[in-house]
This record gives sequence, C-alpha cells and structure tokens, in this order.
Amino acid sequence: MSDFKCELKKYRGLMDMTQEQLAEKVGVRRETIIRLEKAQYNPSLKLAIDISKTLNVPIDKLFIFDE
Amino acid sequence: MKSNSDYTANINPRLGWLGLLGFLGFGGFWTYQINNMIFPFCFLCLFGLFGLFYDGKMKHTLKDEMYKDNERKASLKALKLGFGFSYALVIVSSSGIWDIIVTKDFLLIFLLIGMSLNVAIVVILSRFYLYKFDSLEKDNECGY
Repeated sequence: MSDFKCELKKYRGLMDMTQEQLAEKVGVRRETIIRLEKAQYNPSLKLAIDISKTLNVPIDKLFIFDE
Repeated sequence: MKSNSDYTANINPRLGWLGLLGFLGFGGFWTYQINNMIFPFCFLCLFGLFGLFYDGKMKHTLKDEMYKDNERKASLKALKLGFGFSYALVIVSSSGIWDIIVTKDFLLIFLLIGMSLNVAIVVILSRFYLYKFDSLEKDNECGY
C-alpha cells in the first residue's frame, strides 16, 4: 500500500520523454521508473531531486504525500 | 558513463550447477569411518553455489538504488531465516536427547552438517529473493 501519489508519468509525458530516456538521464534502470510511477517505490532524496531537475518540476508536485 | 562496477557480474547461469559440489560434503561419512575426520562435512556449504543460477539470470544489471534496496531486503530476509534455523539447530542440539541416543561425535557431526547447510540456504535464499523482488518490476512493464 503506497502512502504517496506520484505524478511522474504526467510530467514525463509533458516533456515527451520515454521511461528509458528518463532512466538514463537520472542513472537508474527503467524498472525503477516503472515502480516510481506506480508509487510502489519510495525514492531517495537524491533520486527525487535528480528527477525533479530533469523534468524541471518541483519535488512536491512530483511526489504528493498524504497528510 | 557507467563503469563495470556499476553492473552485476556477467555470470553464466549454468555455473549454478557448481552447487553439485556440495555433494562432496557427504564424503564426511566416509572419512569419519576411516580416520574420524569430519571436516569434509563443511563442503556441504558448496550447495550455496546453486545461487549462481539466480546471479546468472540477473547478469549485467545496473546496480541502481532500487537494486541495492532489494539486495538489502533480500539479504535481511535470508539472514533472518538462517538465524532462525541456527537457533532451532542449537535448541535441538542442546535438548539432551543426544546423550541418550548417540555419542557426542554424532552431535558434533549433526551441528557441522546443520551449520554448513545453513550457510548454503542463506546464500541461495538471498540470491533467490533478490531475483524475486527484482523480477516483480519486470512483470507489468508498460511501453511509454
């Protein structure tokens, strides 16, 4: 059960970027991006920042935690 | 640019058959009869080489943070089981029943076999769980 919502897929789509391309840019595997998009994996702060910088979206818009 | 150390080793899954070397451990029964040597029972831990089957299946995988996370989870789960098995082994060994049924020699052989198999089980399970956790992600891949 995930306790956060991930908007990665939405913003990745806006950037017209594939999972493979994003994975390569942030230095992880495509499987990691898939798990992130399904909110099944809680990323490290470094990975979250890397994705945020790559997609040019603030972290709090990418990963929304339930209050 | 990723270096080779960022990827898992390029292992042929067929190397897992090296686990059959574990059967050398049963030679301990023979050496015990010949000259009371029980050291060969330690070779039973070579059954752990069967874990190379799973290492081979995951060859040349990028060791990103999720991989390392899964690796930690898999090791922890395997070690917990191994610890439980060790504890059970000690309980059985110290139950006192051995004094009545068999000699202290057999108790030592029992412990050595148990601990060697425990090492093998922990090695195999840690590789198996890592493969299992990691392959979960590959199940539902979507294209874009």
